[in-house]
Amino acid sequence: MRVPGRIFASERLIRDIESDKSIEQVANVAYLPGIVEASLAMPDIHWGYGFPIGGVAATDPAAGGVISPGGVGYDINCGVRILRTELREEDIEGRVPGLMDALFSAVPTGLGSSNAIKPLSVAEMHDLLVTGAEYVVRDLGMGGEDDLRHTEENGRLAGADPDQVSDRAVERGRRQLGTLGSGNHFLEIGVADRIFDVGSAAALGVDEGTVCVLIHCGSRGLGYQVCDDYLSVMNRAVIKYGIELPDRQLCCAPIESDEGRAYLGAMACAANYAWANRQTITHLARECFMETLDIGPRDLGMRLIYDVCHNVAKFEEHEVDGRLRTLCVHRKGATRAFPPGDPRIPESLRAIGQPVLVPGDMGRCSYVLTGAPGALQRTFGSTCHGAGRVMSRAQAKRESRGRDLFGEMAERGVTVRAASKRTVAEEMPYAYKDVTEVVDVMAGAGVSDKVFRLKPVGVIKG
Amino acid sequence: MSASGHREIDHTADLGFEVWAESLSSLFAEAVLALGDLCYDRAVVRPVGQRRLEIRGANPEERLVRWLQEVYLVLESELWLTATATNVVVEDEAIEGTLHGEPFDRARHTLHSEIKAITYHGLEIVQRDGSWRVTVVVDV
Repeated sequence: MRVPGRIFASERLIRDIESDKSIEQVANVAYLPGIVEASLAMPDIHWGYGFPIGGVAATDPAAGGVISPGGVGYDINCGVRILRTELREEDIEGRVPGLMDALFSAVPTGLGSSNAIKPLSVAEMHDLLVTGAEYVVRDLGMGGEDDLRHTEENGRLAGADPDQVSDRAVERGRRQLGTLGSGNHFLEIGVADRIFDVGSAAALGVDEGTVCVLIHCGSRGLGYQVCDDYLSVMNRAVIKYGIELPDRQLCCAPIESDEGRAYLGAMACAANYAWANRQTITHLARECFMETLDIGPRDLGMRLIYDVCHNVAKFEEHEVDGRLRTLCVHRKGATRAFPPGDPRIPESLRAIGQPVLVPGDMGRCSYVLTGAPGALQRTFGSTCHGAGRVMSRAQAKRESRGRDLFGEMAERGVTVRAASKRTVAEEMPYAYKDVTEVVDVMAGAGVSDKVFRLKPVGVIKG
Repeated sequence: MSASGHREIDHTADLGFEVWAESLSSLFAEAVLALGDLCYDRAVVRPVGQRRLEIRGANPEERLVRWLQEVYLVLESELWLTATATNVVVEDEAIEGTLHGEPFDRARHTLHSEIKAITYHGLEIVQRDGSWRVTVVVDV
């Protein structure tokens, strides 16, 4: 190990963490060339491909640092956005099933979901891959400039190079813009039911009873294809550059190499596709709410609070040993969490810190946090991203046999619409850790602070 | 245990399946069935249409991953469901075979989870006592 491994957890969470091989994966990541300070893991860590999910690793390009597709994940820029509305809980009483039906019909979900909007041409795809969410706002007329200001990197990651994206990846992306996919992806209507920081919540336009919308999805088939394509490239690069690794799934290339630059150019394209995807879904959601409730945009007031990515590698300046260095921060199942005053967050949010969105399971709750000063000292400005699974998908399906899952969720006050009953079985609340414990660990470490909690009332699963 | 077959396995955040068969060709054909069972209710898919696939790969594991990737892409991009695979020929650097199935029909077919990738995690094709086995983990 070139650096130590460091895991943020409570005593109880560490017992769950010890039940899979994720600790070994934290140790493996510490072997990456050019890794700085430590191989980090957030409390929602669990086993992932190569890197653990919930892992953070910063590498220094100037010190032979590498970029690893396994440190980003298959779903490049999988992420979450949260929108607030002018609606109160009582305004949607009895209307949730109708809203869920409208959303379920407008936002294609599940295996093979496509054609939410007209398929894009290859030329249009190339524009989109460079400009990200901007393309959806400016060229497709879906959303406004305010949406872009409240998206990490303004919804457009620099360095995107469509020439590094395979034809097959582009082809997979042409029909999937505005679709949710499946697995743990979701679209949720939630109500703020607990406010921890009244001032920050007010700055975000939220108080107790505010109706919000959460969207969790990523770059769809295009991103998966980019990852697949570059795992092959990186497997060859490891041999070419003589990189010794404890696990070949960590395959990587120096950032300053043709292979490294090519992956970063393709990865930025996929990240931009994901932001464009979430922006398109945002537009579809706004339309569904206005039509179903028969209200205008002003009365709806569905404003983007923030959009974060939790599967990405980005170049950021961080202070290490008293010196400011530009590092490549891999966050795989981890969220950027910059503290108040940081110039890299939008001016309108700078006083409270960058919002961080941490979805829980579909039955319990989700959290909105803000980055705290400890994040820059301890985690390269990163925090947790979700609850983390505690039960395998196969085991969750076995637990669910003979049970009325939709009925159980309705008893919890959650209307569920899903493309696949099997996905619902795999995603039931008991398959996940309690997200409250996860966010409390990061609050205790001074990395991120709780602002408000959201209880789900309607969920769409793939 | 029958000469060839497959079963789903537990794997933390992801899904996977174990496949066994009497020959390498049968193993590749059986893996198609395992993938289908993960993604949709294969029992009701009628083998009325055909798709011919040919792929290349440097070693048996790479050929298996690419083979399953191709089968999955037919499903994702065309919503065409495979019931069985026949005439599978595995050669030194290539594999070819015929998929039998039909287009997705909402009235009759049930789709399950989308797959992000067929991974190389723990992937090793093993031949022992006249039986071929492999465990495939898919990222969902």
